[in-house]
Amino acid sequence: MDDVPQSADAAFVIPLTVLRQGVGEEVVLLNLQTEQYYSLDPVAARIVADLTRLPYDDAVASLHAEFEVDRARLEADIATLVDELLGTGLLQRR
Amino acid sequence: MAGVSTGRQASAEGVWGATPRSPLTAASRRQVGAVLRACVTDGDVRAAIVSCSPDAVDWIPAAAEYHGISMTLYRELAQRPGAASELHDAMRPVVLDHVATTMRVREDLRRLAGVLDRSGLLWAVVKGPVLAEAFYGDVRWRSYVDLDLVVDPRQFGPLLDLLQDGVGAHLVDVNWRLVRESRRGELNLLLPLGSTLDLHWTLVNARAVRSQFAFPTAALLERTIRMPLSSGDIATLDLADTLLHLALHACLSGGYRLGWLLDIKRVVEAPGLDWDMVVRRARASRLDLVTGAMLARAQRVAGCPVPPDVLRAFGGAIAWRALLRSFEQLRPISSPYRLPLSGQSVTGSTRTNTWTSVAAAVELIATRRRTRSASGGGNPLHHAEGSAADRTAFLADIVADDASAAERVRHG
Repeated sequence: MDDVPQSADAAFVIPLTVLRQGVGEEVVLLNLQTEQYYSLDPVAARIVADLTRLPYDDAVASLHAEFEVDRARLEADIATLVDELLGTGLLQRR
Repeated sequence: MAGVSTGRQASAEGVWGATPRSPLTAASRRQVGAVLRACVTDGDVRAAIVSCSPDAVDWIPAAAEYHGISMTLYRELAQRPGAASELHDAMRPVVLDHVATTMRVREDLRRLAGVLDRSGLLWAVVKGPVLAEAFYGDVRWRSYVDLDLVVDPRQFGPLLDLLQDGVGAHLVDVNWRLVRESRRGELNLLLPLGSTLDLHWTLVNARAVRSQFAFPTAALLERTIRMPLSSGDIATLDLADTLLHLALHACLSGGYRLGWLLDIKRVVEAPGLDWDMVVRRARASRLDLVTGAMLARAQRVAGCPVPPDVLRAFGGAIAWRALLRSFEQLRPISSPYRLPLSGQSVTGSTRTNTWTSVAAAVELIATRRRTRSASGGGNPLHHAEGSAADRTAFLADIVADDASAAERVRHG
């Protein structure tokens, strides 16, 4: 995740004030403004990676193919995660 | 013979597993020590953990943290999912804390590097981020909590001004009277994102200790190399000077942390180390006893591949080295009761030969007795005292001090 490129077409972006670093299977996001850090488990890390490199529908399709889960359930999980990350300033809508 | 060999090995494991405040039995300390030793010798960590009792496993995270090798152990656990998963989970909070801290330090470094490089002043980074990225091969697997910058004493004042005015660093050590009187080797600053910065004009902090060696900073900075790190293209000491500095730091700090020995081992393993240069510079800097002692310890304890002829080249001060080795085998780490004579105090007293080292140990014991009841009141360096004249005098003194060290190198 350290080197995951962010795309201008992506639905979301990780702000410049947030640093990220992989450790083991997790990813640590450090918000320099709040001085708080958060760790993402492998699934959450993959969701964030896809949401910041692909348009939203493409990201959902990619994740659906990866995790073989009901699409409605997947979108609900994504929405929950996105809400949490937006609320903590770790993610921004483009 | 097998029994004797096994007994010696068990004893060696036990002393390194005996971290302060440990509630463990001798048997459990040996088990913890075996896990820690496996980490630094690239041994079978998983097998060592499997052999541990439950109370030993519970103490491993604290012991690894004490020795500065939490990330090394976690790497082993993370690379083998399923092995010791409870230990992996127990270490996770500390490891994530370390990762977040190093991320912040690297970002602070990235920001200040741009400002300092544009100034044309000489500066270099030592330890922390350089060791992690250049010698551990991955930014994640060696922790550090602060940033150490070395600057030419002739440029210390302008660089301090630039850090405060151009970078936004906050000077913590503001007692210029005490700074001048003690001629401290470093000042402490707080960087904008919260990292601590130790700004060194010399790599030997204590004045009395510094005068015994000849390790001039100006010469070190003339030999720096650039390292491509994640924070940018950063100047650092060349390989030989890095090794001498690590040995000096480990030795004067007491030589009791396995992480320091692992740092030395990683640098020794790096391609391109010129041993002739290490020996030559160590002798010229009067660091041969210090360097030899730490290389020998790194070899014995961490399996550091030091060529035999290098150890022979550092073969002086036989009596002192025998004393060091005795304490290493018996008590490398201080007891919780801080007895004045321990492996830490003896190792930290190492100077240029047996006599100067004995004198330093005697002085250390006397100082501890004098200061035992005089603690408290916070760090006097943080109390704003002194004047601009003290600052000016300090800046002049350190230039003279470093020039004096260079003279000692020239005259042998």
